Amino acid sequence: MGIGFWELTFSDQILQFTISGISTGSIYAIVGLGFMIIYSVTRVVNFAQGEFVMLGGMLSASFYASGFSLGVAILFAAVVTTLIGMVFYQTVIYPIRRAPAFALILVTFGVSIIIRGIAMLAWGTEPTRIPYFSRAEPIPIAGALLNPQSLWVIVSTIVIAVGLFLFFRYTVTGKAFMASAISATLADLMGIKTERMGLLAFALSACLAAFGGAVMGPITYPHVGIGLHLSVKGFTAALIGGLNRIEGVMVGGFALGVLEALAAGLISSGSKEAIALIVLLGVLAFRHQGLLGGEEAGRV
Amino acid sequence: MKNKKKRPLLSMVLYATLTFSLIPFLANVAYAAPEPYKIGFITSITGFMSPMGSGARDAAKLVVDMVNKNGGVNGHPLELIMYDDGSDPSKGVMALKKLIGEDKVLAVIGPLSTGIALACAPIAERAKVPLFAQNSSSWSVALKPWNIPKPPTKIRHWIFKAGIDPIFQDIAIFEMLRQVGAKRLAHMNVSNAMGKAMKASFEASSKGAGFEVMIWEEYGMGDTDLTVPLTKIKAVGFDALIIAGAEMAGAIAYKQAREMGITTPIIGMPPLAMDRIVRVLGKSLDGLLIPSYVVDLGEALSPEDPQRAPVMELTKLVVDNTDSKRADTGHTAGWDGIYLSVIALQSANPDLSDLEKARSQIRDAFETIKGFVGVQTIGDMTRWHEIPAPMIPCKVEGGKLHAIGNKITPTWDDVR
Repeated sequence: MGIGFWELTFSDQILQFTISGISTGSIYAIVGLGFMIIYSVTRVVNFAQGEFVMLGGMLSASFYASGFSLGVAILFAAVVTTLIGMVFYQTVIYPIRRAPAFALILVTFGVSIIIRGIAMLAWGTEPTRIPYFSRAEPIPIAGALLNPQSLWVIVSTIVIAVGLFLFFRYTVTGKAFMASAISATLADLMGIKTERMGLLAFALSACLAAFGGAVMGPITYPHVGIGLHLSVKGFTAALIGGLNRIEGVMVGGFALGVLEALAAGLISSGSKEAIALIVLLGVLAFRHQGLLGGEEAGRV
Repeated sequence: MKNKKKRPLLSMVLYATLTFSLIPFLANVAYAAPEPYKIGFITSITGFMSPMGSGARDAAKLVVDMVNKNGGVNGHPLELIMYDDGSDPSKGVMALKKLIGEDKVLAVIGPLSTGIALACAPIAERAKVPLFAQNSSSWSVALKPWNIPKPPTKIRHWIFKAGIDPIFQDIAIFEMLRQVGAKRLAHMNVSNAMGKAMKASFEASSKGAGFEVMIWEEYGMGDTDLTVPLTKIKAVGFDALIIAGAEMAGAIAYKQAREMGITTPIIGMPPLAMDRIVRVLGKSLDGLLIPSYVVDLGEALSPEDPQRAPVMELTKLVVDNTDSKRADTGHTAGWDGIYLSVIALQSANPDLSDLEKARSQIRDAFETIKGFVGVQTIGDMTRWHEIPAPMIPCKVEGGKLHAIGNKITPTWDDVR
């Protein structure tokens, strides 16, 4: 029998809250990036984003359970989710792309319910398991501990963000994507097929989300009901940081995660949802474009 | 003209009335079969309680089929009239009123959960219908004023239930804490109604039992990162941690507590040993202490345990006839509910020509049930209208429950 008495100083506690917050925040940031990519080109706020994350997690777990190695399972999951994202755009969003924004948002809500319903029929409501990517022993950082899988999540989020940044800056497709985001009409005139860019946006953000779902899976034990919560958090993160900048979404995600963890740690666990909303309202009241959001409409 | 047109309608109504009123009479003449004993059953087939409610439904149906195959009760077949409460108190009340007023049942089993049982109990009481409120907390039999954690002083006349209450669970937890020599505790509960009830009960009962809770923490039902409350817990000195929650988050809390280097004994709640959770978390749950119900141990029950035989019988029934892989608390509620009613019906041998009298005979029979051996409950009906439900201190090893102590059968006599 052990006696639980630790010398955990106040600063160690704050450090631990911050570390927990950053790892939760990077999950929000991955979802937020998906919102950003789709919004920038199509002006659609895609509330099925969280369902893509759910699909990524559930498919990875299923492929893994049926005998594939973890890497292959995640790859398959990402491919299948990407295809679902593309079909979603092509069959649902594309035909009504000129509908008013609120109608498009409602449609994505509808699709999210359909995806969840089908997933529930396929998998039931039970949680599933994805193994840790690497060792399980936590890494000590000063007086606090970091779960190695959380490190995977944080690093993946940063790698994805940097990758997206380079893609938009330095590749022809990326530049075409950015052009469509800034002005669809002008991009059209320059010979860029903006509708293709819409398809690319859905593919890219579904793929990211699926990967995010797989990386966070070992910590969160994915089940079919996780999507809506992630959509709300990811969207909040994107709004706080700015829905049209990669840096903005990253900062928004981390800020939201850390604030929630500090609120739960220093005030009470019940207060964290309220704190997130208050921060969002505060940011929107003073900077409607988000903390880092640019004034120009569609920058990525 | 007008009269002529009305006449066929009038005669049709007359014929219909005549025919319908004859049907029961004709049926009696034709078959002369004994009238069935009608029993109402309310459970949560849909809604958030559905994992348990569907188990209760399956077990109840299977047991009724078995009873009828063996000739029914006192020669009368058992007729089960079942309604879904959708995990919603108002629907539960509607179902109860229908069972009492329209279906004219002799007794009602259910509902499964405290919230719905609390809404139904006063109605059954007023209508003078015996109600076996299964696993709901002692609030469904107790009347105010009730000075918790003292035993309830006033008990509803018509309501009975299994001896399940957060306080009884606490008694088992105290026993386990004494076993490991823990005095100073950390307590974290899930922030839903059930978690809050468990906290309130533990708050009321722990001090008198000689324990000191150093820190109370709370977490959300869907949380997957429990490191924040665990960090706060880790910062105080304690000998054992109690996780009061039935959901996945409780199991994740255990895993993360171990990862964060908390080495004290940790006690979790019985649902954490459910198949769906153990299958996912596997060996990560090893070392977790759980006060378990008899059914959770299944085959691991000691051969001398009188409840082993019925538990194995229930398991076989459930595994052979449904897609469940083992029997759980939902199934036990169905099994015990039906068998207790069967025993009450047997000894009451109710007079079916007078419904009010029949119901009152069955109520009296419920009150005097003795020596029952069920899959969840065992023994005599206490004066608090509860059939005791024993718990066994267990530890999870290799993803399986192992008994580490003797059966504890708490009643209000143990709460002083």
